[in-house]
Amino acid sequence: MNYKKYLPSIITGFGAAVLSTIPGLKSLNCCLIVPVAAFLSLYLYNRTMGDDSPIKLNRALSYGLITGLVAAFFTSLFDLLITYLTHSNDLVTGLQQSEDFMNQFNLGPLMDQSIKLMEEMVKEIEKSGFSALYAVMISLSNFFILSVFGMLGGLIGMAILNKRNRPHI
Amino acid sequence: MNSIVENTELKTYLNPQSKLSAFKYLFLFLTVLWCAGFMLPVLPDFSGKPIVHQLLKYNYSLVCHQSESASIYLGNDQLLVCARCSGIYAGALLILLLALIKSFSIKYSLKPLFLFSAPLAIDALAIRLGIYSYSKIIALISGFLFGAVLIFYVLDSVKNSFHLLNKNI
Repeated sequence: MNYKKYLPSIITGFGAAVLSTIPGLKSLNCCLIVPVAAFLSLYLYNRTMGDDSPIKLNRALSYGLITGLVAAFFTSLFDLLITYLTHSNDLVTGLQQSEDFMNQFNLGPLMDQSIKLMEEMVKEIEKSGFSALYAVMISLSNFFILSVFGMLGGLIGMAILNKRNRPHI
Repeated sequence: MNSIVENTELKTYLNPQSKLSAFKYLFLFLTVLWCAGFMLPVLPDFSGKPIVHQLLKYNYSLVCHQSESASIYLGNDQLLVCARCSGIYAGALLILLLALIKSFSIKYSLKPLFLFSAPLAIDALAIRLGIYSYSKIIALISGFLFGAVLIFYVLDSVKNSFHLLNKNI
């Protein structure tokens, strides 16, 4: 396997993970960071190879997937590391707000149980900086969501770059 | 005789039209699954365990800010994504359904993409600048247009990619 070929994906995936640690930027970009990173990886591949031929579906999907997986790995790692060092994260800081909101609407027993589960995770994080359940939850979510959105970004990148390159089909 | 049958099977297998159909069905299935995920908590008999609800909530928090004031409510229950994201997925779903009936094509232009994305960009910018306050209806409609046009391009690009692949074989 030629790893150099996938260097743009690895770099942009890592970049996306770094950006996702910035709280303001994370909320501002919603689902934009990883798809844009996947798009950028395809663009960089074309630029570094000097290849103007239309991007094929398998390349778009594989570059998107690798970008998403790299981003998921580093996002989870950074999140766990920051949580371990600071004994705090979005879950800890947002717990009170979530509880207040739930109490306003009286959303039922399911919500009460969810809050209880969150409180348990928050207790563990505040005590030791690590919660196994939280770690599993964010890793699973990151790997699933970011790889899907990476592939979607690859498809959108293929659509835009192929339109720009104007393939003669 | 055997070789004729094999050739016919091979032609059918390599036929870009059948490949595109398979892709459309797969994409539609995944989109329906994705939309069902964020609508699951509003089901009247949703008896998922708190961990399932928490996992779903966390999953969708990666792609949406899930602000309470920007979300759609069905009864007392909140969708797991905001109005704008709901619009994006609804637009994508509608185009995927329409694509099963009719084939679309865009002639080498990115203008429709910019045109249909503009309402979303303008709305988001106007809210950030405080020109007017957030409206769920505007967010839903602008998201819908954006989601629809994006999938339009993705399908068109995938179609071109299959034709290209077929040409190269």
